[in-house]
Amino acid sequence: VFKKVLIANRGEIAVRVTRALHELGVLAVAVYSDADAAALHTTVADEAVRLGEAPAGESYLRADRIIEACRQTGAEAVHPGYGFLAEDPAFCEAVEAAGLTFIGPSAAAMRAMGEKTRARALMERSGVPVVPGAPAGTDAELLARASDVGFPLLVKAAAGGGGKGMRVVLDAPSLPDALRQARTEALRSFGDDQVYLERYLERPRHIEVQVLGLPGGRAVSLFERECSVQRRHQKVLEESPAPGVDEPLRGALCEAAVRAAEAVSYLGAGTVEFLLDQDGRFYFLEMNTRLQVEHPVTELVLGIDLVKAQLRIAAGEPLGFDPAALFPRGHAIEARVYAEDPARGFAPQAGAIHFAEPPIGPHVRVDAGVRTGSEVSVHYDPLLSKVIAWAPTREEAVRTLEEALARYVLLGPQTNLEYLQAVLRTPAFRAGRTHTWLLEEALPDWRLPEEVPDEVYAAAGLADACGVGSGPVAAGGGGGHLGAQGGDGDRFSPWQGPFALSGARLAARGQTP
Amino acid sequence: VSERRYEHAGRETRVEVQLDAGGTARVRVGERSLAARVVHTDGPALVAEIDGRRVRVVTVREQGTRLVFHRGRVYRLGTPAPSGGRPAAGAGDDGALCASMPATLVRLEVAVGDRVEAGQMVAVVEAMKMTHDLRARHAGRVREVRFEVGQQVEPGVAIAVIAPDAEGAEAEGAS
Repeated sequence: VFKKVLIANRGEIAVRVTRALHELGVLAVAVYSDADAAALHTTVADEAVRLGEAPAGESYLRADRIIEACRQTGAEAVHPGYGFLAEDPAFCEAVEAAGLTFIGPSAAAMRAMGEKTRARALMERSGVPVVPGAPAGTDAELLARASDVGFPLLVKAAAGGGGKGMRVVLDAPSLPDALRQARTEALRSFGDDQVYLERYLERPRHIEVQVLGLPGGRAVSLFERECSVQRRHQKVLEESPAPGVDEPLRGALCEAAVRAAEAVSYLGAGTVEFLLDQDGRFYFLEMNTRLQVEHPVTELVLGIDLVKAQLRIAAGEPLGFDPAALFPRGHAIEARVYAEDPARGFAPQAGAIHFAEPPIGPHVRVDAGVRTGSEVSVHYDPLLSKVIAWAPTREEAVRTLEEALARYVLLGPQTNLEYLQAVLRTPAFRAGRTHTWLLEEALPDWRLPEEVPDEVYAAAGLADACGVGSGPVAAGGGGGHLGAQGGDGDRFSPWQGPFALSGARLAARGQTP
Repeated sequence: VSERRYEHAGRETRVEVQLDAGGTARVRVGERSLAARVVHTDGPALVAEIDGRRVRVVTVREQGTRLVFHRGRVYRLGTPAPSGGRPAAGAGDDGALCASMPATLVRLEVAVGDRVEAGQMVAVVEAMKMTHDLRARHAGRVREVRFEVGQQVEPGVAIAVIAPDAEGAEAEGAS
């Protein structure tokens, strides 16, 4: 493939890409900001280059410094991960102008999909269904088009946003009044009374299709993922196959996704997102021109490695598998573990991870960006890791994931691990009745239970009496010794040992790709 | 005999541990007496037999808080104030305004000596691309301002201190 690849990212995805590079015998170059100087992703790589200060604008978003880091280390290609510069066509062009390979689609494909109104028009021309609607016009024009759009529908302000000037209209007789109200509100809020119509999808499901664009403009589909379980547009659980999607629907979704990718001559791994309504009709939402956070569920049901596929496509080499021969086997579910506090409106949390013990077991995978001693910084996305479980059936996969989350020890900032277990236990999720409002309906105002079992108090008392977990923080905690007032003055820290060992093992692995 | 008090969700619990030579122990949690035995420790992990049942916890101390992982949950057991009445963190209002997480101070609306009303904006901090307003919990006078705009602030460390008005105004207190 390549000899050396630079990963222009951080956290779990940088660690995950490094793993794929090492499995292919490719050297990995990490980049880091001052906040990440000792972060996990820098210690598993073969080389690490400082980009700048902690804010992303001074480090992970500095295309010039990333390209300079490639020159300095002799890296031939750049893997952008997700987020940061992954969908920035100017970065893609700058990488290519420097004579390097960008592992991803062309800048033209990114641009075509990045502009939402242009993408929608292109999809319509390519025969990919989009949410039915009618462009802004006079009342008479909109009334005439309303039955084509279908009820219920939304009246939306053309200049709008944030729900202002928006009306849900259930039937044709209520439309004239709704138009009048929406125009008045739009004029007052935005100084423009133009409104347009769009079909209102009630409790839609979010289904996306993984695609691989191959050299020569052909694309193949790698089946769907169901990502409806979201909180404020942030995905929480993702799974494959999608419950309730039958063979004909799966075929239609995959075919539409391939058409979307081929319309922009897409190269490499990408995802086409659709909304599925309750009658089984689906509509193009957008295309993500990068590797997705939730790519592991596809990997587990298909038995492939999407990052290796990206690398091989970028290098112009054969995939190593026949995509036409793939079919999903069993069921995989992913949960995203965030440093966030459900009791404080899911506000991101920061601080030291005093101890991390990810669950292991057959068909349990953890893609983590942190370990014991890591610092969770205020500067970046609070995603700590992802736990993915596979089993022959969905029911068993849900139970395997629930058990894996319950075994996951993360002592440090508050995480959403308890919340994730609660989500998996909701009857709606268990039954596969997923839709984008599931969390609001099934777990409104969720809080951690307040009771503490007596055995927890007893164990805490024993730990304090024996000095368990009372030693100094393992590493990187700003030199501060925690727990001086605990442990009955006992200074011994038996867990320095195991941590030092795992740290050494990780570092050694990085040097023997 | 070692005795500790833990604070959780505003409630205080007294735990008494009497360790014997053979690793067995008598543990009292509140009014309940439990037979216990430490089976195994490995770093921050502790396996004990408590009241005949195996209990595995993983636990560390973070300053005054003992974090205890047990069966998929992390309990944060605080240390109550020595006086016994009120928990150490968050109660007795000393007028200190702190960020709830490490953050950057992006705005300061007051200077030392200024008068503030209850609810008045004092400072704005930013963490993870979100801003948080810090407002005075009671009327008073700004006694101290310890940071400048652009500096990093830590949770629990006062950014500014509001000295409450001598009488009466305190009632609005805790948020």
